[in-house]
Amino acid sequence: MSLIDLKKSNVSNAKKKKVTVDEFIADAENYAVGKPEVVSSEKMTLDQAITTKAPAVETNWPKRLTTKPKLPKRHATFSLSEDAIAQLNLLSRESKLAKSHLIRILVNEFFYEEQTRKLARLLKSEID
Amino acid sequence: MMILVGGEKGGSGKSCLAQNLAVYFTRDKNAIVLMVDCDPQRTTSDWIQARNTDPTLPAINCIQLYGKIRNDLLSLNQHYDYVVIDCGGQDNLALRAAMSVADHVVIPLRPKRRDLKTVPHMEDMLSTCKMVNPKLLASFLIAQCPALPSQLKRINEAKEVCGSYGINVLKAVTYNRNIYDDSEEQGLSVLELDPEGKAAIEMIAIAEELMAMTPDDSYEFN
Repeated sequence: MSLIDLKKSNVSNAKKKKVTVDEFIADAENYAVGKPEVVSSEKMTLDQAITTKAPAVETNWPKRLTTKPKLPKRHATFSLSEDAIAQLNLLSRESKLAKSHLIRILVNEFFYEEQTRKLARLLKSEID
Repeated sequence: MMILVGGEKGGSGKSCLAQNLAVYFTRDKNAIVLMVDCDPQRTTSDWIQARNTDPTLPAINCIQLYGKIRNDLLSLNQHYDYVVIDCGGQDNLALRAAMSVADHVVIPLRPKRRDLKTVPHMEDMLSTCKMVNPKLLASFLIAQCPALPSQLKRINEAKEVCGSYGINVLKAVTYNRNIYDDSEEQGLSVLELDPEGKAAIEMIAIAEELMAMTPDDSYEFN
């Protein structure tokens, strides 16, 4: 099998971020835990993998299906503040998505966030 | 002068190249050489130990260093003509610290997909390093090539792949030869075991190509 397909395919003109010697060296530890910040930092994150994968899955659906098969849903009642209701209404109008749909998207995204970020956001939240 | 033999891929012949370069500078250039073994597998340290049992061989000093070794290397470089650093097959603190002060970095890769797939990360690391070490000269070496004439296309393709990332690719290559293993077991270099042999010619070609490179002082690879 030819090796030629491994040639560099895109020529990036993007200027590299300036780094210090210490930052360059220390980034080896970030790389070792899969979170490089200086070298090869453009690798796909978990969040990106989830969001990027979603459309690809949709396009692979059999053509005869014009819509996704709907998963069973049921009513759930939660209390929201007036502000949250207004924000949800606005989001729904702008995105042309149902409010329930928006909440499902947000819960799904939030659910898959890393544990630490999730906790940090929960702790920082000023909403009572 | 500091020469780093490193890379992200294990088993590509880094220790073998580092050892043979060290002997070349000691034997052919009459230089005082220090080897720095940054690989916890201690391949080069064991080789030096085997070598030191034969008093007829020119002595080469060896030290093991791990982690943030930048200042150690800068200090050692003042006391030796050549410091040859053997960094194990992974991106770690020692590799980057050595890269940040080295004059040359040589990255041996076999003409195999699994080796060539490390090139994008190495290129990113090298070009970032160039911003903090403008004198750095970097080269890929296609190593352990199959000797069959039918495999020549594969070797040339591997060179083309590495070259497409804008990093120098050495014209010299090494072939898969038993003498590399045989010499290592005895604490020897191929230059000592068979000075007129093909492996010795390969090693001399690599060393001379490296030494013939024009010094650089820029923040990007041209």
